[in-house]
Amino acid sequence: MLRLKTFMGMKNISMMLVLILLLPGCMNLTEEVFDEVEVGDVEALLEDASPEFLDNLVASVYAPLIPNFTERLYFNLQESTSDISMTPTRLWLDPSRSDWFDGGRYVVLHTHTWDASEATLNSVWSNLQGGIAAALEVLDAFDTPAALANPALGPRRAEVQGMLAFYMWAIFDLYAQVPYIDLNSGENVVLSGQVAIDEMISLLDAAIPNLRQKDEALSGALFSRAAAKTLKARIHLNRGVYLDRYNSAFSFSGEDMSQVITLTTEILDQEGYSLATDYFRLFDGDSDNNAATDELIFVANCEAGQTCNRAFTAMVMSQGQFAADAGSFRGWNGFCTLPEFVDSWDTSDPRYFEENYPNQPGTIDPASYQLNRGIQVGVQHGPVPVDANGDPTEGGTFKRDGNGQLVIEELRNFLRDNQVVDYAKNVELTSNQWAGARVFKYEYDTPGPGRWDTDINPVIFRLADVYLMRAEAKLRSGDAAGALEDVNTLRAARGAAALTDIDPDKMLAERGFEFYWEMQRRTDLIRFGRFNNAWTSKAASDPNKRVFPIPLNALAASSNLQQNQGY
Amino acid sequence: MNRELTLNKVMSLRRLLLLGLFLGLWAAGPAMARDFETKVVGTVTSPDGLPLAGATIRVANTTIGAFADLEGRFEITVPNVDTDTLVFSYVGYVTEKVALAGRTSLAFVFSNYDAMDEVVVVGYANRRRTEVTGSIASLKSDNFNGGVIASPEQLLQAKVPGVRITSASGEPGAAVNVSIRGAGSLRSGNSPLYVIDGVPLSNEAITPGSANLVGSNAGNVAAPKNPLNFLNPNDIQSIDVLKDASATAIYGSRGSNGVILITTKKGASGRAGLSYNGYVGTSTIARKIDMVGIDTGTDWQDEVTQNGLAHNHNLSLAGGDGNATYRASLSYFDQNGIIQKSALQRYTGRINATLYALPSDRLKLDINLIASHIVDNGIPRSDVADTDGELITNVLAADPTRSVFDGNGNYSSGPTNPVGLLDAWNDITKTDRVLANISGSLDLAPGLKYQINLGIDRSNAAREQELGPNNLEGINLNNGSYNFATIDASNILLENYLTYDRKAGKNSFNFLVGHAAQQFTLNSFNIALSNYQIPSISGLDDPGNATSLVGANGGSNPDGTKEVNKLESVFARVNYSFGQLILASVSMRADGSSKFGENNRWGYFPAASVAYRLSEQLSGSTFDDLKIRVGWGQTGNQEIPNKATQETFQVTDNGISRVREANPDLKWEVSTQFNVGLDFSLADARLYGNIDYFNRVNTDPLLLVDSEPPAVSQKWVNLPGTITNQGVEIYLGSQLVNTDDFSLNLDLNGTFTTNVVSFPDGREIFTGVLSGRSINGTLTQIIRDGEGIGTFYLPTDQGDGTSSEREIQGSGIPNFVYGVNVYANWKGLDFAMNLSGVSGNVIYNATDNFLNNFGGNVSQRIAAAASIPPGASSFFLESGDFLRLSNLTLGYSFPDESVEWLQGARIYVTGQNLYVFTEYTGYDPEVDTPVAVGGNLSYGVDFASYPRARTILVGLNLNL
Repeated sequence: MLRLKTFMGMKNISMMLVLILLLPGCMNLTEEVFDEVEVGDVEALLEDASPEFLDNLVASVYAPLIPNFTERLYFNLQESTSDISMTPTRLWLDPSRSDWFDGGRYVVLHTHTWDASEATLNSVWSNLQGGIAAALEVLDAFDTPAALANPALGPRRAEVQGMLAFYMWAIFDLYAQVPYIDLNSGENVVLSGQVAIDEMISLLDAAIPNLRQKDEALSGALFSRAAAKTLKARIHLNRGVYLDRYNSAFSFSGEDMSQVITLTTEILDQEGYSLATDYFRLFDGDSDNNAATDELIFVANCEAGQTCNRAFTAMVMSQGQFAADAGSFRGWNGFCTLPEFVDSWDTSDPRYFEENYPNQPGTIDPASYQLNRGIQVGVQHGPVPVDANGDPTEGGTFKRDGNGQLVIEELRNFLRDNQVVDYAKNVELTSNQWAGARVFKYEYDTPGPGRWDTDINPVIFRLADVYLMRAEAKLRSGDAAGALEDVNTLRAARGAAALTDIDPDKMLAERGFEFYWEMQRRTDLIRFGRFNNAWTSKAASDPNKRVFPIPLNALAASSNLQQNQGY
Repeated sequence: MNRELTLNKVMSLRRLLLLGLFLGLWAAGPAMARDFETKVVGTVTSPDGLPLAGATIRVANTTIGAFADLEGRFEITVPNVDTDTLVFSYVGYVTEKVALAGRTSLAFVFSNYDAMDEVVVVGYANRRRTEVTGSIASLKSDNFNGGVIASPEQLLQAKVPGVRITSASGEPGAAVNVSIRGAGSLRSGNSPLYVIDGVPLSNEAITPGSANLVGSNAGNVAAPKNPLNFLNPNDIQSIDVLKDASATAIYGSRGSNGVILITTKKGASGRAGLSYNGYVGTSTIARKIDMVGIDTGTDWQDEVTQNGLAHNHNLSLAGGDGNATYRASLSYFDQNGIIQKSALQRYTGRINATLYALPSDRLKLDINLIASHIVDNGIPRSDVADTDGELITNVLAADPTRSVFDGNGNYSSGPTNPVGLLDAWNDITKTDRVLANISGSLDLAPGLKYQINLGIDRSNAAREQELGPNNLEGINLNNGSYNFATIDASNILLENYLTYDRKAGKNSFNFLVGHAAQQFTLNSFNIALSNYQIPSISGLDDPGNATSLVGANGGSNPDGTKEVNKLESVFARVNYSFGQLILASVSMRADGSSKFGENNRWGYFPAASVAYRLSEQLSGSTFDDLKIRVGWGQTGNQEIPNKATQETFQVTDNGISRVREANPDLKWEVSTQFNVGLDFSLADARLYGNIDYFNRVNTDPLLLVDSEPPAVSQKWVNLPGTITNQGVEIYLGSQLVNTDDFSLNLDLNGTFTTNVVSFPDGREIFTGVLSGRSINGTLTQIIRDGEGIGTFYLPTDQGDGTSSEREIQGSGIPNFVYGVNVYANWKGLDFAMNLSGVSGNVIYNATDNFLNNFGGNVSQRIAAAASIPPGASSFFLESGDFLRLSNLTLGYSFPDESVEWLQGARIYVTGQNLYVFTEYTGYDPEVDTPVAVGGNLSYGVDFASYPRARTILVGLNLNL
């Protein structure tokens, strides 16, 4: 026993303990990354990078356009808050069942009662600031001697600068603050007011000389020189608002207006665009689009297979209405427009309605069937998908007569209460299934078998806006005759009767007729001082609502952002 | 001198002690008359056939005694072989007496564990229950839940206080959520660490999740299956649950959610024993949802459900001799779900051996090998779908006036025909998993032992899913789509440690010091194809039949990942006891992980506990044992995704983009836990149990947050804030009757817990997302300062069709969880009953909320409502209280003598989930559909869940 003690005393144990505690470090614990690229490697990749590789890098800058400009995101902030769009809670005949309440989202948007916790505000913010970040990231990567020596870089770098300015403008217009990284110091900053405007203008001025001209094959998918000029004009047009957002009246400086006129004139004279002769073709899927590309300056480019919802038409159409044979291409019966907008139209204006088949009982050739477009009110007729027994069913094939012709009949919403599809002009925030006139501006295209396949490229800038911006700048500069001429040039191209005179009300109305559903309305209403007015199911609202609150997540993540006034 | 040295070298302290005792007993022997003495030989084994080395064998009313050797063999000389009785005792078992009645050889098997002094596995060591200072619950195979059981966690359900086990659904092999002492993390990573025969497993999913084949924006996204399905429950000897930090801290950065130690069965020396265990059972849907019109029309729930047949066969062979013991087993398990096409088949093979080598058995080697093959057949269900391609929602919404087939024998038209959907769907996951380890221990010197543990866990899973060509409406995909996904995972472990036991007078010490290195590798691959050339050929048979290299939903180019993480640890523990009066333990583990940021590479996890056995000072009292335990410790949760600290870029269809921002400071969540407990046993263990209070405070919770804008990526941070779980656990066991012919045991367990979050920055996190028209994207739960995790935050139904602003509404986590177990034996009959229940929680019936707005059939509850406010509201919250008759078993064991070649035979019948007392109108109140947002967990939402089964089975055990 004595031996035992000396053999293994406490000392030895503690020695061993110390020894083993010294063991750490025998394994290399630095994390190895296999399936992602580390920072240093990105720079190395840019040396001698091919144009295709650079395009792939630049593609990440366009990515935040989708779904922001193709789904119910940017649209909700720009249209669902306006006097042109509403998404009522649609009760069934059994009022304990309803559609489209969606957590009250559309109610707060329509009534201007949102707060900083509203999810849509967060999604849009998150997308747009992601666009700014992606663009800054690529610019930073390009800013190495090796990359700058690459001859393919120039136009692409300009493209990224232009897209950076675009995202900055979009977030600035909505939230009045731009999260940004100072390119010199690398510090996170927040730009607002004149500083933000100066930075956007200087980015655009740097980009314009190097940007490519319009690229017809890409149908406005690429941020071109004309896109940069359009954006710059838009910033100048709204500068009076941006510097004094909450005032009861804005002052638009002569200098800004002359900048708008100069820029728009350059586009009209030098960039090679022309107005489309067939208005609704601008809003068709890619396959029909090429004829109209001369007017499209910049779009959110959706390819088949991408998750670009057909938000803009599927969402308005009744479940009882079908866009194509066999395949559940039905509507979702959500959005509609307001009665005052319907009433403001001269219904002979070709932009109001396009008939692709007569809206009455009868038969038509299956190959010719396409939905009617524009604004639809009243009882709808169309083909009805049926099963083997001839009963209406989603996904069935359209009912045909003995000659194989489609039978056009009065539609019923057989997926709800089987009421006649009879779009009523009047609507309230809590309505029935058929309330509200419907806006079929974009095509409900069906390029693939999937319900979500679409080639629709939602329009961001087009030449009509260039005409109307110049007209508005002329009007605000006191040149009403020049303004009228531009407005009538556009109306003539559309086939609408010429106006005899022009004033701010008519100017705003013309923008509504031309750009309804195109995500410009909120900005227009603010600039014309109408955003806080009362309209159907909406009381006059607080001027603070012209600017959206900074979402709570963003405030929590940033040390620089300040909540906007009134929130 | 020389001789003494040799003795010292070869004899372990324990053996010396045993020898000493034996010699002492033997020396006392000569006092007895020896005229009629007879030598009796035999073996002593545990109920599972393990040899019990060191078991004491005594001749009743004498001082004659003997000990069993390492193989459980004993030899004893008795004064009168006809009249004498042998008394067998061993730590952890109830002492038993056997009259010799002339026998000179005897194979003794202990029949009852002594609940108060069983052997408990504590991590790198075993302890006797009375020596334990932490909060540890153990369950031996005798007390496991019976019935059709696919995975080991279910063996424990409602048996152990503080451990809440919830199946995500009733699907065969579905993921099981185990939470020990509440939810400590905001994110996934609330699972305990599983250690099988000393090998810690990774908690990462080892089977691919479900692909979206339908082409909607949701569709077919469901949680992967339970990774522990590879273990055959019949191979498990015991499960030990380490609950408090003083017990789990030895597992350091993986200990904060508790540790579950699974010990598999081993062989015993002696005659080889062959045993067969098998059962056959049938399952039916336990409760249907009461939908409108199903009494007179088509009940679509009937159309897709079936009587699910299940059968299970286990064959095991165990035996050994003085130098080696072994156990080998084969099993086949086949469970058909109550929804057609869903099934789980498992084949396992397992072999283990224990070898003794070198003089005096100084070297002991344990070899374990488990190999399993699992085939899972899934159904098209989704946790987050609209109805497109989702089975359960389509079944419930289907019009009862419609028939399954039309007049021509085709699937009837209308919104997606559920039977047709199931028919067009194939989903098969095949998983092969091998877990092997070799552990060795070498006696270096008396009391000093070196141990090594080398383990490897390797799995390979391939999932094939197909939505075949069909004409179903709502799916809108006529030409077939196919997805192939694999996950290949491995985990290699090397541990070296030393133990040293030392006793000086009443002071005894036990030291442990060790080093461990573990590496985890995970590769995944996924490819989606569509457009079948020949509709009649399945993509599973010929993927080449699909001509497009993209899925139905587009954009899915082949995709893959490879991730590796490493963990290196050193650990040490000292146990001290003063007699049996004071027991103390201090431990420390240092973990270095490649997942941690480079500024926080190493984490240190200390713990200390002390116990005071009052019973030692209360001689003559009715207390057999009375012990107060106090423990404190810090543990970590390192369930950070790989690469979370790294700034990296990714190449996708949308170009090259930053994945996340670097955070070199990122570290584990810290859980600091204080525990005070009382163990007691009264009147020869007539009444025993324990009460524990715990206070578990988790700090530095991990969260994925937005980076400082502008930023493409998010970043992982340790948030300032705490999540506190407090609770009381009570376990009460009793032997109400204990006679030779009749015994009746009742045990009760209950856990009260509260959970509260503290966010000093006022942060609010929303989760629990709903799916469906009018509610898509609605978030039902809030995590904020002053409220618990799982708190519902919804508008209150005003009863007039309107609702209030959002308000706090109650929790999805019950505050009281309890179990009642009854065991009875009467002659050869045995009876066991298990009741389990929870109270204090609410369930959000998201299925009803969905159906209300979908446009198809609705439940009677909705139909009967006078008004329902639009969207989500408190209308859909229902009480989650339930009491379930989970398990009822009646068995009969044939008398041993009845058949000569048979050592034992038992037949039994078991009923599972026989009745549920609940007011809940969904399928089952024990439900938790994973509807996390951004990884932040929700609790208590029920959406499109797979219904639960009621099962009756008959089984047979044969021991040859």
